[in-house]
Amino acid sequence: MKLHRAVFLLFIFTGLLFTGAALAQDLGQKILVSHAWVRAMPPSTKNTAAYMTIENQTGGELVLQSANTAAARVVELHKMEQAGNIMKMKQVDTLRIPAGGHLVLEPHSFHLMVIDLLMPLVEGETIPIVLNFAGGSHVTVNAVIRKPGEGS
Amino acid sequence: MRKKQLLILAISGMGVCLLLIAGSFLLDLPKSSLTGFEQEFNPSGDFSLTEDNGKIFHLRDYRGKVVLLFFGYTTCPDACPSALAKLSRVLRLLGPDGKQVQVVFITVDPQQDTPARLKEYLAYFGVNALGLTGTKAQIDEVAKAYHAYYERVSTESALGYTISHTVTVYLIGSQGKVHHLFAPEDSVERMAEVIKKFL
Repeated sequence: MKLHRAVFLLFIFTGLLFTGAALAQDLGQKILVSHAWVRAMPPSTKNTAAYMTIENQTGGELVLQSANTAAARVVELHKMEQAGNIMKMKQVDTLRIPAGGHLVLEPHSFHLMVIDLLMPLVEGETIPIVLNFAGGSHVTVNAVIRKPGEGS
Repeated sequence: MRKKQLLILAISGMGVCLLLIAGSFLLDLPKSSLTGFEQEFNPSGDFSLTEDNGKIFHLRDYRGKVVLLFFGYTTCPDACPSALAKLSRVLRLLGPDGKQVQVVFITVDPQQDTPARLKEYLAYFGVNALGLTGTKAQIDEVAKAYHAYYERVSTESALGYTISHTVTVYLIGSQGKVHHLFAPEDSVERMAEVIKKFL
């Protein structure tokens, strides 16, 4: 009986802890970034692409102006465009995310172009990427280095 | 009376014949359009380029195998690694049958993609792909035969240039003919299903 109560209390406390943590995160971050990953590439390849989902809970339009990382010399905002069976890549100045909306950076679409890697990318490790938004807010995300089997 | 019967017989006979003829056309339709499709892409069923190990590649040496042909370049940041990662999943799904499939990657950036670089790049994706290169003229000729397009585009980006290119994966059957074109939207399962038909 005592054990049961202890287990029950433990559950309640764990629940409270998690709710508290989630709440703190929610209040602290109006820009939520999830599923951040960067594509692992062969050692001699100096460029790669980073992908993520950026959720805008700031109440106003969010404009991503630039990004940077300690792992590479340059990070640019790019977009893939498919015209028929031809794929084109274009650099874009900004990425705009409407209030309450989100932007998915994914293969064959928007991505962060990571240029001139300064270190080898080790699968499973992370690289920090700083997202710089208009208005001076910055969000740092840890993008997981992955060698993907692309989603089917 | 007899004449009338004969006439009816003749007319119905003709009707049956017409139906048969029409039917044969209908049955033949998919076949004939497929033949046209095969004729459209490199009807010679052969081409030659240089392999990433320095040997000369001839498509005709791959009779009896299914060749999955793709045009790309090693500094391509998105479309090419996505396609190769996908092909590695397709081959895994095919299991032992995958041994009869040869992935062939033709570079559209021969200046940058040396044989050594192609080899290292392709080995990384675990699809046992063969990298092919050549002079620009040789590559252009092959691209033209497969109606593949590529264009080097200068950009203000720190990349210096990007190459827009066809991202079709060509399924080449045992006789060197193109039987199917895969688009980036095709799922791994769908690709494996189609490839199986030609093994």
